Amino acid sequence: MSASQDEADVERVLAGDLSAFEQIVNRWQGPLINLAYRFCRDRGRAEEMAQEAFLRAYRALGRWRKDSAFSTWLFAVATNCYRSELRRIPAQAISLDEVAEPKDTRALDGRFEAVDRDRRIRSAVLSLPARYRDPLVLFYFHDKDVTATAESLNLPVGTVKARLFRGREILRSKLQLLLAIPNLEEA
Amino acid sequence: MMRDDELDNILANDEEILPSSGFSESVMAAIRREHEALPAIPFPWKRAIPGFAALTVGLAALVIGIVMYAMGAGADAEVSGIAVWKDAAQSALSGQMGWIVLAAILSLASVKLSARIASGRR
Repeated sequence: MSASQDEADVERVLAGDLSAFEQIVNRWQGPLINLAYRFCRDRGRAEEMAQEAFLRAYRALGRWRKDSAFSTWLFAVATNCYRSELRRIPAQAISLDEVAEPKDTRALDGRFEAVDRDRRIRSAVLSLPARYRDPLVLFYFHDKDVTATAESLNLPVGTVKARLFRGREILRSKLQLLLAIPNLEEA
Repeated sequence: MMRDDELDNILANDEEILPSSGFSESVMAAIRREHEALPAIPFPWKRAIPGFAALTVGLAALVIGIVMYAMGAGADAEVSGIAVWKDAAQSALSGQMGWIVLAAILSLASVKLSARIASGRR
């Protein structure tokens, strides 16, 4: 199982066996890079950020207290790293003002190329204030697990829920205006 | 019309990217550099403190000498500015010469010793 493998590899690294950390990298490189990609929408930068996250995890490995799963701790380290990096150099988000308007003025029913539309909607999340952007990114990354999101952000669950609600409201209202979709309502 | 669950779906089903082929090696190379880097040399406080103390004593002696002279010369309003400083320095030096010289020597010795230890460790 991954959890027991993580613990065994951590023990080996702390005992001085660097090659064990490579096992951790191989196991978690996909999720960390994809989480970084969701924050920055740039493949190259995502890998740089993920590399920095692994470095920070290596330095802090002795501080993992094992009261939570290694994956939880690792995602928290990575989230902090990505948020710091984005404060330093913000992501090149597509402003909600730049979301494509229909080229064909007759097609105002919102029928854009679906893939392009979806990509722009996901990118539009990055233009939200960080306090709403971060919970939204992590919530969908963690398969809509609020608890995992709260642990990654080191925030209470109630705070995360409130920010998710507010973040979706802001996103919905702006998309509604810009995509000229009349009724973007609660399901 | 886009429902909220449709927005939910779009945000949940994000594209997944694969790590580039050299990513793992790149990370491990960085880890090894980190592992092999020499630890930072700590500042030799135990050896530097006597030097700092001697320097402080020397400076304090000089300042006290100047202040005492200035207080004594304040009654004489006709003394020119330059003469005051010249006389103050002479008074300070004559009264505290020995201590100032000792403090300066200790400071210099402390700095030299610290520099030798630091270069010697490299």
